[in-house]
Amino acid sequence: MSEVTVNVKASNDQKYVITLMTTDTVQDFKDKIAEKCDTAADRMRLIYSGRVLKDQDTIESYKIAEGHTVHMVRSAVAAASSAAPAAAAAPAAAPVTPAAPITPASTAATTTPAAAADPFGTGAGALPNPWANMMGGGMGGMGGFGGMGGMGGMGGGMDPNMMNQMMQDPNFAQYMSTMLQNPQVLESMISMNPQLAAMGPEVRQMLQSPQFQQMISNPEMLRQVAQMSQQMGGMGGMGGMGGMGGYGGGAGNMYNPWGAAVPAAAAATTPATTTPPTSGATPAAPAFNPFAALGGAGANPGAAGAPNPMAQYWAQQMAAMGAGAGIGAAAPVQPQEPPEVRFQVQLQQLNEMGFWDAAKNIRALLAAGGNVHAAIEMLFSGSI
Amino acid sequence: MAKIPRNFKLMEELEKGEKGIGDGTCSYGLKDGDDMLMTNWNGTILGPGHSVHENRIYSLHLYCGDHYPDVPPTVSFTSRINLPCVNQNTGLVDSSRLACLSNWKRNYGLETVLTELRREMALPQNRKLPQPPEGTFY
Repeated sequence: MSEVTVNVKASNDQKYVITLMTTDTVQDFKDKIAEKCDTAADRMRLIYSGRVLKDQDTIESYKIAEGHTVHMVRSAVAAASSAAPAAAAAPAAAPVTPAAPITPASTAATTTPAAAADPFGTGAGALPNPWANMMGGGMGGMGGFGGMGGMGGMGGGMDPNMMNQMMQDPNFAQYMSTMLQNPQVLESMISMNPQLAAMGPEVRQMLQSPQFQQMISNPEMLRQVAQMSQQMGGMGGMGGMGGMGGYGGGAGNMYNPWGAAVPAAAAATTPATTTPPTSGATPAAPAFNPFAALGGAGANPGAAGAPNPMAQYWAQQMAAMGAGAGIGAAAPVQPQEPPEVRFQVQLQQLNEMGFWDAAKNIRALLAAGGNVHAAIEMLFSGSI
Repeated sequence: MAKIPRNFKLMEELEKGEKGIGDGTCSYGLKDGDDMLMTNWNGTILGPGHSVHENRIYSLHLYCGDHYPDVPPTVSFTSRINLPCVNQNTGLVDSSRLACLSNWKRNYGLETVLTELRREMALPQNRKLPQPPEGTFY
């Protein structure tokens, strides 16, 4: 029994150096690779010398020796949702995405002002974007990135590989941290985001705190976000993330700076509907999604609806991170008026239009984030 | 120019295969590491993207006879594949229908054959061919 150091080359050109015992099985090998990258062991296929390695065989049996290279291929993934139009790059384009599945909405909801300066997005434009070239091609350009950075813009149909690559890029973390250390950038971010501004000096500290930086530059974390967006099928993603923001309290604010909304959309309200975790095959309902518009003004009968499991998951994630709690505490408490009060005007409008069922109206408004137009669509579609 | 003897060439190819070539879309190595004559080889081709082959790994068997590289290797698929140049009953690659085999040159290698086959898969007329289920073999 001896030790060998093997190079693993992934299909996205990432390289890993793994030290193994020759008695290790291929399964052990995969587990070790999984520690270093973001591909689950059971999704890896390893190729060496023209052979696909079988999990139960040992390294020895394949005669893998010091310095040899094993290729790692990810097994088939569900086809990524077709990239949405480059939303961020073209503010005028408000993509009408397929309606997200919404189950009967529960009554709890919070609103998160979608005020988000977008340091990466084209809206702000003033900052260099090291990923611009990576994002080219069919990715929908900045839309894709807005999606990534921004929980806000997850609907962009981001190519998962691209995402992985980006997250593994050390420059990414570095860029994030450099950016946050730059007082100018911070200032502009804060001034563009009323909510951050309202938080006063703590916000600077928060954004500059190592904890926060670690969190946003933690590939694991970002990957989970990516996964969530995949689970959502790329649609309704934005609403979903917004929902999370509300859910996680301060969490939402923290991430908003990376949100994809350009200042024009700053006044938008994110629908943060909570839905029972069974949002599967239920009828689809259109809803207003300010993020989808990414700066495009006006109502956008597009995807919203936040599959709730993710919101919960996110909240847990935050709590687990510890950082979430700390930063969450620094954030102002969300106003929690009952929906009847918050949506008084809208309810009246609905009433005037002949929608008498008050409970239904509230549910629709909650799901639509207070947008009457979207709420009506929902009511008509009968999914509320 | 001196001709590289068979075993030297194959040794070179073996090392290249073990060290890993290119992006891993093609890989090859000895079927039996103790085979001093380096006759029987395994190869894999990772199906090219944007085709029915995407995300599939095809296994092949390559046979380098005594006269290799003066004569091309005999190549056959062990994974089932639907390609015009592959015999559907045996998986054997028809040398007359794959340019690099029919016009074999001495400086070609196993890698040439594998990359050419992969290119064949990605050809517009082939990339949409219906394929047998993955994981079936000849």
